[in-house]
Amino acid sequence: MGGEVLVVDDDEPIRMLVSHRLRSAGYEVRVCEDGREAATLLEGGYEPNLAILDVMMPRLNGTRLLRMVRNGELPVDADLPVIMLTSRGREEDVVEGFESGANDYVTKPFRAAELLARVQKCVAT
Amino acid sequence: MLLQGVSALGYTVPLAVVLAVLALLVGIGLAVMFWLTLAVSVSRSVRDTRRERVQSDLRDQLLDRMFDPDAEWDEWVEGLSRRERSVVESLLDEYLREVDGRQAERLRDLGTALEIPERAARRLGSRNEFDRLTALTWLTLLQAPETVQETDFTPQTSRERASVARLQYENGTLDDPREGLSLLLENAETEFTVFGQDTLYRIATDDPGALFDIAAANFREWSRPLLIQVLLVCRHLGTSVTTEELSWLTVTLEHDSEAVRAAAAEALGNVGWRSDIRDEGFLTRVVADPSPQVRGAVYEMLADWGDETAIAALTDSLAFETDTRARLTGANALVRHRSTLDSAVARGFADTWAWSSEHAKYDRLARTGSRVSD
Repeated sequence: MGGEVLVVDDDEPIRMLVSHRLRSAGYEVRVCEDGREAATLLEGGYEPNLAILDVMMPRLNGTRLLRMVRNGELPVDADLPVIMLTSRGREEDVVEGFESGANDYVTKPFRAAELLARVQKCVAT
Repeated sequence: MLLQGVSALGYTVPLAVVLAVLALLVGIGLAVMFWLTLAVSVSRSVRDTRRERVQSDLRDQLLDRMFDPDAEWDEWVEGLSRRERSVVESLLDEYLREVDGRQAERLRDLGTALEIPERAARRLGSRNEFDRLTALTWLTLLQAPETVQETDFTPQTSRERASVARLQYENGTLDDPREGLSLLLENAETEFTVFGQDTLYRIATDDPGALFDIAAANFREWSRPLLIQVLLVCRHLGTSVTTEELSWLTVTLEHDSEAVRAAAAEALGNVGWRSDIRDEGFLTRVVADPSPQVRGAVYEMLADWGDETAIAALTDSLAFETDTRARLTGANALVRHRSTLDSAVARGFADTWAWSSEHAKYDRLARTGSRVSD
């Protein structure tokens, strides 16, 4: 197990929770507070094995960032596995996320074990 | 003539002295306020700094223990200072909203170790509504509805009714959705907060019929904002309204308030397949509403119905619609269901139709990157 994971969420508790869980499971984790910061990081040459993106974020939301990755607008593998984090009750975000090319999604509030299992599946494939 | 002094109780005090005393009092008041503000600011800053200093460590400890099924909360909590407990409670409040499953159970155990349910039970007896709402919020997060039952707490305000209904709904302690809807709506007069409306929607989706029954019996007693909120919920219940009595909805189309009439038309958008609400007289009456806002909502309703009769009523009305905004609303609603329209049918609102069609094309292009075929 292992690999580099980019976690992008404007909610600090979520960033801390996800990064804590993933680090405990042996992953290297980088966190960003919004899509713009993540885009800048990726433009700088950072190449994670997986990205976890919140949908609703200021400046640049997760769906737009995902489209930038898939459209080759960022110097990162366009097939980078991406898991979207969506809020319960906003199922339309799931549809939009899949249409934009998300590999998987997790609904908040989420089970940490479920997130870890989905991360492991995405990194393994 | 200028006043020379102020007389009282047989004494005359020169005006200059009175003004000087007043200025002194004002000056002292300002100075006191300045120093008080400064003291409170410094005190809060020191408190926040101290909290921040311990927060990072406590967060790490909390997360470690949350993922460790063998870790004991009681032992950890006993070793915390009062300030640290307060910080842990803040973190608990954050994380209980974000996690589910086993970790959420672990966090609820932490809430018990911090004796939050006991404190919440005491706060339910407070005279301050904010205290009572805080207690109900904690009990919802900790999934402890039994505490409310043990204290015989009776909600007094619409916010408290919403909180108790949500607590029972989230924990599955409602006998049925009707009980929750009754708690929310019977004897209610004032509107809900967004939280209350969301609670109403969630419970109503489990039993739309119960909402319609309660609304039919109570809607005349409700304030205009509350009635609009219920109509908005009805609008979003989908087409699952099968056998319910809808006459109260059509009655609200005759309400004095145009906002209520518009909300009623929008609520009826989902039930166009119900033949009992759509005789010809009904259609003639609603498209002739004096308010352009209501006519716009009626056009949206007809477009949502989407069958030939409804679309014919919509296009016929748009041809004679005098209000440009209502006409545009109707054309926009129509274009969501029809990408093309016979030019003979669109006669009378051809320009509006062309405008709406063009906007729809660009909107789709912006959203999906694909063009709509003409």
